[in-house]
Amino acid sequence: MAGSGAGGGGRSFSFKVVLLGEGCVGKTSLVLRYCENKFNDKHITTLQASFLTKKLNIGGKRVNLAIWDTAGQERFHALGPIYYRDSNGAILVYDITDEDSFQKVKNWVKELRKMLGNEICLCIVGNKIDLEKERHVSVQEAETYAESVGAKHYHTSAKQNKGIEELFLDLCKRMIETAQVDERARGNGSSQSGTARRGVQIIDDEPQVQSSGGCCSSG
Amino acid sequence: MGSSPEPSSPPEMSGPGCCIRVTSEDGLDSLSVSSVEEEAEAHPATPRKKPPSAALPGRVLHRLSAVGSALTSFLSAERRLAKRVQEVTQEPASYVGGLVQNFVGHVLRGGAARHPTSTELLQEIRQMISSLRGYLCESSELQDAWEYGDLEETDLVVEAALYKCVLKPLRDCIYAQLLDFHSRDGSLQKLRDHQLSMGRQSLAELGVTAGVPDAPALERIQARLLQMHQAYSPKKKEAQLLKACKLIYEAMNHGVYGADDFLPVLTYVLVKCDIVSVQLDVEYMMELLEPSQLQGEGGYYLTTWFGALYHISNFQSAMVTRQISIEAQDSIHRWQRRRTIHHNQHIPQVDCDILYVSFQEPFANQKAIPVPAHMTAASVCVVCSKKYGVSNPEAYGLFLVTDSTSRLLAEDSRPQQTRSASLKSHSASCCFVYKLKGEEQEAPSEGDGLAPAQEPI
Repeated sequence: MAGSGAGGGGRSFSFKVVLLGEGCVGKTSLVLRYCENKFNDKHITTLQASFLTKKLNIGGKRVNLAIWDTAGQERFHALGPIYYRDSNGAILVYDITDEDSFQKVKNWVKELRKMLGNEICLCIVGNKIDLEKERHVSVQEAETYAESVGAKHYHTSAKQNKGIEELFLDLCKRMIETAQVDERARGNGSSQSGTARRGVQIIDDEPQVQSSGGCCSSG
Repeated sequence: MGSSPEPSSPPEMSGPGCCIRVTSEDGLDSLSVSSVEEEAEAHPATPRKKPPSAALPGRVLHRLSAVGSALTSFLSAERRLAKRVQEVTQEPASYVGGLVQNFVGHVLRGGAARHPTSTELLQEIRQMISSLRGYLCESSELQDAWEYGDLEETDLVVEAALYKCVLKPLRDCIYAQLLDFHSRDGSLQKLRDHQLSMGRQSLAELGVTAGVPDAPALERIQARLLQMHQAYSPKKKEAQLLKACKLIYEAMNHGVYGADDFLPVLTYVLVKCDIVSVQLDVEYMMELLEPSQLQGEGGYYLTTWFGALYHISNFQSAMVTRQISIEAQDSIHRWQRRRTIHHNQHIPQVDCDILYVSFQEPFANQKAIPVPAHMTAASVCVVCSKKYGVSNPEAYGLFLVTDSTSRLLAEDSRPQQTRSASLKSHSASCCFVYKLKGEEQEAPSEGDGLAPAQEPI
């Protein structure tokens, strides 16, 4: 969560990014390509692409990226929310040779906006640009759509390692901006990082008495 | 299966192996900044990667334990802190000890059963652990045991020590309650039914495209799941869950797999296992792990297991209608919102600290009252009068009771400030008590002098 990093006071951010898209659009290859030189020894599931992390340094700001892959099959569609909750960013991948996969992306965008509002940074990614000749989703249509929903559009080829670094770098910068705006908005009250790290507290079993308790009363 | 509260350690994790495990567990949380710095020195010592040759001879284990002296001294400081937490919580006369023992006793005596849902039960326990941790990390009681002063580390160690104090005695009781809740709401029966029907499906019907574990591999996975079930610490359960994941990946034929491939195979495995235990374990971990721990690798796979179980539970409707029912979607959205809200409480809670107040005598009939820093003793008294239902609130006051003194707080004083001040002053035991005024001169030693005062009410 951005909360843990951005709220901590130092210039270090932790972001969660969820990866959405139909099976076969190449989301696994995309993220593997991005993280391949950085395989992390300490992961029990080393060399698996379901969960990956990457560390970046962007202009002196340390960023820890956790990338959560999701299953793209229709049968698992309902599980989306448990993966994308608390995400700072979402990468929605389609295959430029497959019109259906682009439609699927549109559905995801709708759902994400509905569930998470504008807090989340959206990236729409047309993958497999090495297969330009078989393109079925026009560049114009995809970019116009992305703009209309407040997302950014990227062209990538996991096979040829094109556009991937840019995609993630750009996404990180946007997430940092969002986190900083968020931080400023919270502003005045959030300087006590020492107490903020403490966990959730006990709310007694008679909540109706505590209506004067401000933020606690909702518990 | 639920009889042993103490998890039986596998051979390769006994003895000094534990030392390594502590760090490697931390290392699993890839979002923890501290783990990054540690990995360099922690990983050259990789006894857990060696083939687990049944039981390693003691000599070898001793040598392994000597690998990093820096690590060792760090760990002994860590052990000292954990031990100190144990001591403090076992001491019934201390503030924390009183809380812990009251709470554990309350749950064991049937307090667990009065919750309408399992979630509320688990959240009450989670909140107790969080409050205790916050209190302990702030108090002076641990300072002599922990000279490092690294807050993140202290948090982790105290959290783990509290699992032992709170969850170890409660594990069996919690499981009995979970089983009861979910037997009554029918969710376990539904899960078992769907397990049976999915067990008859072909791999293609399950959507499996990679390899699946053969019988011996399944046995190894089941052994992990048994250990996961027996552990009381959610963190140790999570470690077993990750090991099971690793075994599943190994059975998937040496490729690099994403969620598209993993989820169907996981579903296949769960259908072949003691799915009810797994369901209860996942709920236990989901609710009792510290929410921030759910962001790393462990959190990812826990989410995936939750998803696979959810998928199995809703299997029929998904196949019949090609989409999950509205009702099911709703419940998952509710879950999402709840966890999110849970998490967000990290930030605003700064100004709504909880104060524990007892009635009449120290540690008796304790209530948790949200008391922001600026709230006055008079306002706290108003809340107390309602909570304890006293008919003559003007006769009562809020007292700070320590080992040998009992002091009435002025109406305009701020109890949270009083609490902070008394924490810093090293007094072994202090407690806020709401009781009849006019007794403060008596300076009762063990609260005996207060007993008669209870009668008139």
